[in-house]
Amino acid sequence: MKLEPMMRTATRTCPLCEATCGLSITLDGDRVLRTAGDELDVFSRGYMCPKGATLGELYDDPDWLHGPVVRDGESFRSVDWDTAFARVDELFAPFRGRGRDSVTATFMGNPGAHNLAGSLYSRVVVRGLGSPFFFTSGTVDHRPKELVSALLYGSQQTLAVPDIDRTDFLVLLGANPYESNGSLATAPGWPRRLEALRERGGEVVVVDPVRTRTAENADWHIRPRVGSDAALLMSVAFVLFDEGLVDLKDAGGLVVGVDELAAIARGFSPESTSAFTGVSPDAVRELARRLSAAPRAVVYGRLGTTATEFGSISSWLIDAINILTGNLDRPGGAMFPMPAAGCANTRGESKVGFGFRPARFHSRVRGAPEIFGELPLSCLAEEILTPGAGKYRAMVVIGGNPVVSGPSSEAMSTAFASLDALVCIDPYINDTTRHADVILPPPSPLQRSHFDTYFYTWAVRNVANYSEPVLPLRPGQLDEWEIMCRLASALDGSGRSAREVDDQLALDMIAERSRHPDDAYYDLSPHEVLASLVPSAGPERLLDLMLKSGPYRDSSRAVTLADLLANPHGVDLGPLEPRLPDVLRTPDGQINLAPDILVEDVSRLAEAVTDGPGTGLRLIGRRQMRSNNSWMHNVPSLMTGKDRSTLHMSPADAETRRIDDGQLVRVSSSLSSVTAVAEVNVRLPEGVCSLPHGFLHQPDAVALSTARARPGVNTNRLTPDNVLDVPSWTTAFNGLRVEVTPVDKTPEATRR
Amino acid sequence: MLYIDPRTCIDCGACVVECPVDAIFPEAALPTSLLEYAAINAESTQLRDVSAPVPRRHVVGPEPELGPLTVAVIGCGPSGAYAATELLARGGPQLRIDMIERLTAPWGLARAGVAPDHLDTKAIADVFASRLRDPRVRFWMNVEVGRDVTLRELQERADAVIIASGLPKGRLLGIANEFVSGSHSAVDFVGWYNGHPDHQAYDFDLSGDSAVIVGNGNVALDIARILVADDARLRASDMPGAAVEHISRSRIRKVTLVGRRSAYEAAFTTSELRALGDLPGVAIVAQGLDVEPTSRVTPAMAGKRDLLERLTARDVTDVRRTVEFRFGCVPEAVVGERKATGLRVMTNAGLEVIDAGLVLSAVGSTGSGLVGADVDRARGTVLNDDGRVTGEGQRGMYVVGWAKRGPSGSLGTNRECSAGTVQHLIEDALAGQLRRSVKERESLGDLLMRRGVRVTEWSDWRAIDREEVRRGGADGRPREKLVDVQEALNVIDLARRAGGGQV
Repeated sequence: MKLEPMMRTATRTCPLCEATCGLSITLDGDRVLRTAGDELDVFSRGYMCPKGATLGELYDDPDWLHGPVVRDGESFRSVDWDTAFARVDELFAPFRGRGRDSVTATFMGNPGAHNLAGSLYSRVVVRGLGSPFFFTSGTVDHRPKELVSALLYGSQQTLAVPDIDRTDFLVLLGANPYESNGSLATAPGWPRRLEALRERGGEVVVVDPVRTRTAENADWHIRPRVGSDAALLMSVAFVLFDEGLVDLKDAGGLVVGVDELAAIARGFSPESTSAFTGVSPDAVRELARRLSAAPRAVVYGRLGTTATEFGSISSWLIDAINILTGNLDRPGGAMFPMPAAGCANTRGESKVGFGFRPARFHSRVRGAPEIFGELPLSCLAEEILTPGAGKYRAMVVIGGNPVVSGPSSEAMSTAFASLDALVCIDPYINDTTRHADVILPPPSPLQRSHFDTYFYTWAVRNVANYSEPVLPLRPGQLDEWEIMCRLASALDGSGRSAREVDDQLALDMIAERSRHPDDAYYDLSPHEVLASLVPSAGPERLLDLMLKSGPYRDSSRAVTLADLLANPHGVDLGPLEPRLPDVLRTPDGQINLAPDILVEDVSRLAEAVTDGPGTGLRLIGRRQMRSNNSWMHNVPSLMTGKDRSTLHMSPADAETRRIDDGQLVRVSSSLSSVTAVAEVNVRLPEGVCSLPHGFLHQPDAVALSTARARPGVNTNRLTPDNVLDVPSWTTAFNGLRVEVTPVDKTPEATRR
Repeated sequence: MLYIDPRTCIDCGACVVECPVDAIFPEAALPTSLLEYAAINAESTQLRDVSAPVPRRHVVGPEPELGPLTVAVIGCGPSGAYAATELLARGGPQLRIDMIERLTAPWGLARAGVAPDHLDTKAIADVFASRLRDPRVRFWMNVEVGRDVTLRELQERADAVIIASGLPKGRLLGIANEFVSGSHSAVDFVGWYNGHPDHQAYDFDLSGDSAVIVGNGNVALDIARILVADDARLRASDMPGAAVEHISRSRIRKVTLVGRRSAYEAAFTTSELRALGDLPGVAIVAQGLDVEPTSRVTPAMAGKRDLLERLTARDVTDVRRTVEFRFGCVPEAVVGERKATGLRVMTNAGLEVIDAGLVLSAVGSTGSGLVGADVDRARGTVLNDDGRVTGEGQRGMYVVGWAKRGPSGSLGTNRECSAGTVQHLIEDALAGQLRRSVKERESLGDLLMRRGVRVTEWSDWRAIDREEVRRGGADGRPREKLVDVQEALNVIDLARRAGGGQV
């Protein structure tokens, strides 16, 4: 087919997951004809997944709101933006200016991190609301990893990521990048990279109770009991100490607390944990020996290690083992990226920081500590529902669906329904936003610019790639940064224009980069700096600011927005480089391997090991390539095929319970029960069943036509809000105790 | 066959999970036996325009307006199972489906038609089983429409009836001496070696040294493959032990497939021909490769003939058995007085007798019809307009599968076919065109009980299924089918008494 005059091909980074794949999108006018991986992308080299092919479908999604709506009784009414912001002003006026006594809160979902404007401007909304009570999806996801990073390296943003392109020996725990595309270790084409690792003679070890597709493609699959990673890793550390395999190499001079950790590990010999983990002592010893013998080795863990009852200890031991085997901060080990736009570990004085100070305030009902300025999502529903002074009465939700993605969905739904005021930035009327008074819809991904400020902080290679919007806004749509600035102004009632809010944010960001003599803008007049930036407003100006003040600014690799515009396939800044000790922001400039907050939690683990494995079924989550948490269920091409919201269980467990493949079953936890279709699956070990999350809570109440056609079951109806990883207050989604019983001959039941 | 275009495939593996018969492999992981498919796949996709727009997808869900709907499906073969699957996806909580099955085992030709050595294809039964375990579905097995219950009685008890009873009888050749001993329909032969209870009374004489099959479609090739296969292949299949025993004692060394037209127009698919070519110690020969085609030759047709020519040119060492293809060969009569001794055919060179102690006709199937629906006499199909049964008083009556479109297409063809009919059914239901069933009438269950029909249900089939797998496993085989209805009923009785019938 010849390219018609109206046809064109646009290059952009896929914003849907953390992998940052380059896409090559062919359009006819505003109609996407086809999408392919961008072979020229410096990072992804043509890799893409089925989600990336759906940006055109998202643009055409009939349920995506193109203008604001406000509540009108039981339904919503379309209004213009002025009316919508005036309504927000009116709704939030009673709640302003209360500081610590605020009765408002913000929840921010992770879509904000996948979006340039969203990631940069959320803070103005939070500030506009003026409440210290802030919740994100971090506490239902990767908070333990952030906590450990803050404790060890001085900042929650300082993640040591696996250098998978150069390692010889990679151990993956509770991670399934063949389905997820990888997380907290941004690398487009994880499967390809794992295959390349094996082709160059390296080995991949997968530690996962389930025989996932990733496990299938590994050299060695270790199958521990669900939730036992922390004990397993303690035993690996035990062997490293016990057999004299500890060798800190170059990091040696920076690490303290080794002896304390050795003393702790001594309580977890492989023999003593074997009954709990289900892994033989020989296997543990072999794993430890091979880790220490490999020229370059690295351990990496994801959701299966964080959203569990011992998430913090698991995350701690993962970093600790990388340190003990001498693999921290060296090629092929665990390394610190240097993002072009900078982050907490590229600013201020190196090696010096405030450290990590949690619990500066606590939640009202359960007394949960703030961590990184956030309260745990497991406390949100009770903060809204429990009567008394300080009960939340109004909320702002930025790109999030906590009714589905948080614990105790039923309580969460009741809580959101009971609010006096709720404003949401969201394109859909979903299980959370359906309770809103005002919904402010952002443009579709193809209508937004893109740059990954978050994911480059944990990318396995230093790259920078900016994408311009592919399609213009439709009449009546507003850019996301303007939505957020105007929302901030409506929340605080200041009447400032979007432009004024934006300028203030830019000045604040300049100030943050001028505090220390090493900072880019030290000694410069903020207004002069502002004038030196190329774009005059919006996220592009902030990005130019971040790049020009970024860590490459004085090197030959300096990049500005103009450079990125000239290089639509991205700019490669090279493989990760050693960054110790400059990367540290700990108070003493050292890495403490035995932080108190983690050491204090060890007795809880020891008790669990002593109590033994217990009996019964444990429920875990299940990652699926064509899904992304709760986001992608309204995209037709991702919802075709077999039912995905099914309960996988092992043949043995199915047999015991007389459950057949395809049969409807009731899954019951201590909190509630749901019905799902059982899929007997040999990938699961006995004692474990899995359900994917993100499906609809109340299908009849949402305006999502495709998702409603295949609603699935919301697994978080089952998740209690009090089963947690103690140090980080992260919800333990994985390892929930459940029972499964057949539901039969009940004609009322439906395949929900 | 479905192809995956290597130029646009993103190698995500999502299709592998979706494929019901585990037929998708990345090129690097292709089993040795399938290696050449990489090239075939690449070749077959080359003509496609990669720059064409990607078509939009739509997800159909329950029709909110549908309300209560009771549908009886006659026949649990692939077309009936696909019809039920589609109904389950489109109907709401008030949908009820009664699956009526003549045998005590479901899945029709997916169980007893697909060749016993093609276990991957038979895995589609697992998909049906999983989908139809929906509480809105009730199975009524060992119930024959026309014997235990009439079509009218079913119509009175359902808002709609879907006929999915297939075409159970072999088509006749219509040549002289066709009914002599030793001359059989392929339907009976396949039914016998596949354990179908209807076809167990035959005693096929395999003592001659050759067999001739009229027809060269996939059924003919299946039979040829089974007749020349070695014992190991038969034992690895789910063929009943008695048939394995019988065929392994066969003296047949040569199987001839007779086709009227040219090699270009042969009815088999290339993949089926390849499966034949993969058998060790089997030579493939052909006569009449030069017969002129009577229709325009497409690349696919040319490819088929080329493959056959390549297979005949191979050097096969230790030839145990031979499969011969004859083209331009019109059957005239079965030869032999008390027993078949061959087939007389007309070729370009004149009349000829192909010697054979076994003559099988594999020229398609036809129906026996259901009392209460008009049938196309020539084809045996139920008269219909794109799935809506036509004729007086047939409102609410539908047809799917072979009974709708005749004996053509692969197993997967039924999916689209059944979805098309269900679409009409749902349109009619939404338009208020279906006459509602009369609720106060005696229920189907009561009616069958009053008549003393021994209805078996899903849990009973599971008992049979387990027993078959158990018996097969004891012999190191995938399953040992219960080919006798009475024996199956005995197994069911035992299981019911043991209280194992809830699953």
